[in-house]
Amino acid sequence: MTKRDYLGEFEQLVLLAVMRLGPESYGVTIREEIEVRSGRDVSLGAIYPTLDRLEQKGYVKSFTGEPTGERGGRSKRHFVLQPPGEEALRRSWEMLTSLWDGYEPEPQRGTK
Amino acid sequence: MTAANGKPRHKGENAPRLTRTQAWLLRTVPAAHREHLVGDLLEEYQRRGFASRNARTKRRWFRREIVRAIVANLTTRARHRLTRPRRRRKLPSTSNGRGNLMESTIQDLRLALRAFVRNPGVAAVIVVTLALGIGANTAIFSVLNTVLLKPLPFPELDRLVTVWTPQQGYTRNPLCDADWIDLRDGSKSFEYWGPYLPESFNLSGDEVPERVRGVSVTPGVLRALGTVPSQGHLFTQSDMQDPSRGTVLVSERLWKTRYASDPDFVGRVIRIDGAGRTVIGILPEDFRFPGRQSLREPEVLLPLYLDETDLERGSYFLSVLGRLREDVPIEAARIELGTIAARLEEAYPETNRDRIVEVFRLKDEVLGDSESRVWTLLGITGIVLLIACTNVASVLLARNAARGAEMAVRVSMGAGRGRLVRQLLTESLVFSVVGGTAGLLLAWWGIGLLRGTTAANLPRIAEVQIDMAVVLFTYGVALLTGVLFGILPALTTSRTNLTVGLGRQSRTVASTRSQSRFLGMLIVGQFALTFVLANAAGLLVRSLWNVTDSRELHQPGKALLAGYLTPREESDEILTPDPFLDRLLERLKDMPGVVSTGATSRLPLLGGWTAGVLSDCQEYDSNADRGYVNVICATPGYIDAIGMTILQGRDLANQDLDAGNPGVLVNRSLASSLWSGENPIGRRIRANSPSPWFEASVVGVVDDVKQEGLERPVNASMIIPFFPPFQADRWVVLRTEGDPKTLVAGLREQLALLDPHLPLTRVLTGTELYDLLAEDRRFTTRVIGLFALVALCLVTAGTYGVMAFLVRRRTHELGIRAALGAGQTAVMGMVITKSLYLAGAGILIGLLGAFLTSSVLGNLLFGVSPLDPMFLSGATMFMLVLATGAAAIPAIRAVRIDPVEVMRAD
Repeated sequence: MTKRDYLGEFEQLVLLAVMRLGPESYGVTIREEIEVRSGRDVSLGAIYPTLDRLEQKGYVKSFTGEPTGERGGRSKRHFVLQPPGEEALRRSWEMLTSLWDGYEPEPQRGTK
Repeated sequence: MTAANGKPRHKGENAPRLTRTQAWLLRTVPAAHREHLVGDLLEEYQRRGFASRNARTKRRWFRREIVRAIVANLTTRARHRLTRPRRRRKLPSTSNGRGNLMESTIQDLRLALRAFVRNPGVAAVIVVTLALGIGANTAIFSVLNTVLLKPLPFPELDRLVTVWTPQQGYTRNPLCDADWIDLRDGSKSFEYWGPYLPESFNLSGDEVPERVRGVSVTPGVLRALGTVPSQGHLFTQSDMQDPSRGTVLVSERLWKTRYASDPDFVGRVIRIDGAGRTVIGILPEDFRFPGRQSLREPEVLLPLYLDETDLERGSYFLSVLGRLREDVPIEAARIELGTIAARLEEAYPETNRDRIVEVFRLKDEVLGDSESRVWTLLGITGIVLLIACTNVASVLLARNAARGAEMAVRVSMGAGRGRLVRQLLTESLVFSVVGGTAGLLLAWWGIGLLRGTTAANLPRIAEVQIDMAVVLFTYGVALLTGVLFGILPALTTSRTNLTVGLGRQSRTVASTRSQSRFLGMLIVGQFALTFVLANAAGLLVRSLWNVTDSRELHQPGKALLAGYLTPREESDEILTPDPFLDRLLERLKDMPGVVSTGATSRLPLLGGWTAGVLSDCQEYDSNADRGYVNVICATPGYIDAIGMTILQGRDLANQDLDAGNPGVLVNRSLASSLWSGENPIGRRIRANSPSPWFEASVVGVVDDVKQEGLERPVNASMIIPFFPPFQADRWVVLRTEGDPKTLVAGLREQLALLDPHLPLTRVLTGTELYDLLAEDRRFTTRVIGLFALVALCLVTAGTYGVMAFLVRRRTHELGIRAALGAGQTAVMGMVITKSLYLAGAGILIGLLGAFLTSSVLGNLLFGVSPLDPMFLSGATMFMLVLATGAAAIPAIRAVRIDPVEVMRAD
């Protein structure tokens, strides 16, 4: 039953953040990006296993950066979006738009 | 990964550092990203707009984030694991379970865990139920483990025995010194033996005076016990022969605490009861001295001096213990000592008539009735566990009934019945292991409470702990319960009917008649067990009430009782006053808030010495069995201060202290036994002896007050105004206007002014005296009451669960009934009747159980029969109310079934 794998919602958020951040993507920035854009305060503890999983699927690649004093001498782990990741994001987007086709999402009440 | 090496030292001055716990908890995060995660958090910590805020807010943020990350990491990974891509997993039903046991077991475990996570409500109910049941058993087993299973700290325990001379219902009656010497000289059964005397002593000198427990022993006692001192040496014969050569052995604890582990302690002189004694040795840390139903920890051991030139037959005070010779069985020793006793009876008929000598095993002495009490408790917790098991079994059955479809799918994919049973059993074992772990925690907490109580009256209760044996027991019990509550649900569930399972009904519930019958049986069993427990708890509460309610003293809460001990003097004079006590009372009388003062040698309920007495119309007769009376020493004023009532005549007065014609009080029982119907005032009373040691006039009669304990009948007693030298106990009693405890400091002050070396042994109010004596019973009542309460909760939850299940299963039928015009009351009645029917059957079996356990329960009760009809009917009513209550919500739900919806579902 090896059908095409669809991204989970959280996986999508993380993957989109990695895409948007480009070379600047690591734990702190990914979390910040998700918080700023979606308003969701997510924990790093949830982000890392998700990225692990995405890496296992070949959607992202990671490498270890330089340690800095600000980080108590600990190194960063940078993430880079890979072509299969881009492909998965595209598939998700297509699926959503085709499902929304012909409908306008109702504007949220109470927004400006 | 190159991160580890060449880390620049971190410079942030106020950056938080990980605590040990945090670092330890972070180990749950895979090593691959632990480092990065912490780095990220530190970076954010530095960056976030915290600069202006105070350090505490920042640190709190950091702490919270660490915890959040750990939790989120665990949950995210758990979720990923459960939603792992399909292709990696084989359907469990396809393997036949033969070739790859390991793999299929792992599959079962995974399925079980998933069932656990998917249905957390049911899982929580099951785990809590099991935790209660297993926890109770673990706690009581840990007591059993320490109290009964761990060997007593004496080598070759089987050869250790105690020797007593049973008299008048007291099996463990001490020996007199003359008899002991005759036994010692006549017996060849013992390797070592000797008399001892548990006492307490005033320790004074360098520091505040202190009251310490001790034992006066002969060398034979310590040799018999196998004591080896950690420093110095034990007593020798020369210590025994010369009382002026004061020597003492000191406990390790006392040496460390009071004498700061003085390295030159052996050889030092310390003051005991006002006299200097040379320390000749220090006892090992684990030294214990056997006591009745306890292991004492004496602080000092003194040599017991027996003056063999001045022996007396008739004054019984020596306890004797010894080690039998290797080739002598206890029966042989019994026979030998019995023969000597018979010889003594012949030689001294005056004193030794019917005086037998009995040998007991030391083990039985130390354990007393704790063995039966602990087993009773374990039996009760066993019942609670059985209830828990049946409860969980019914929950599982109800839940599994809803899984008919799942089972049918498995079977159709080729899973054998054995495979399904194994999977379901694995599920219940997972529950039992989790429940067992929770139970272990619960027991750990409970044991803390148990250890804190002195009320349990069990030897070594303070040493109870969770060790390997307890852990093994817990998981053993957990696995056993897992099988017990899991096997029947597994067997019934796995008997899947494919057409039913896969057919239409699988949408609702697939259950068979046998299942609901089995559920009903489980409920009946629970009611039966709970009935027995509830009845027992009710009776125990009633007994406690019986014991504590009868307070014979007037306003005991207004009486302050303070004890001390007078130094012993060697004197045979019995009619001696106590001038020190008089001086003390004189001082206390004038303290503000004191209404009246008095003193006694023995407080009510605490026992006392006994003597035989004769009235003026009785003649001495060595063959007559006249019985004994309690003799209580008291000062004038004591009767009023303690709160006793004078029925006739007057209180003791100073003129009664005339040794030539003393005045005494008698209690109502003694007055009626000596002068039934006549006026006792002014009558003469004397010792039951050919040459009476006293003769006195009765000046008053006081109302009966229990002297031997709360649960023993009132004894005849006599109150004399003298304090014979062998009565070292003194209790000062102050009746106060307000709270008696406010006078304690003043009392100590006055005592110190008279004698700075005299410590108070104990200070308590009259109410506390009663509480103290009821403590043991209150403890048992609380424990059993608690278990009964747990059982009640379980049976209510269980009944509710099963009734709800049955209603759900019969939704269809009930809907049709409603459609055909069945009234609401009829439907409700049906459900509640069913519940009452189950409860009724349970109560009948429970009645049988109550009859069967009545002899065991009877031992724990006071003033109420184990088969009291009031309590049996009370428990019956209670069970019926409970059954109705538990069925009420399912019944209401049954009424609300909408027939239209039922029809549409078809």
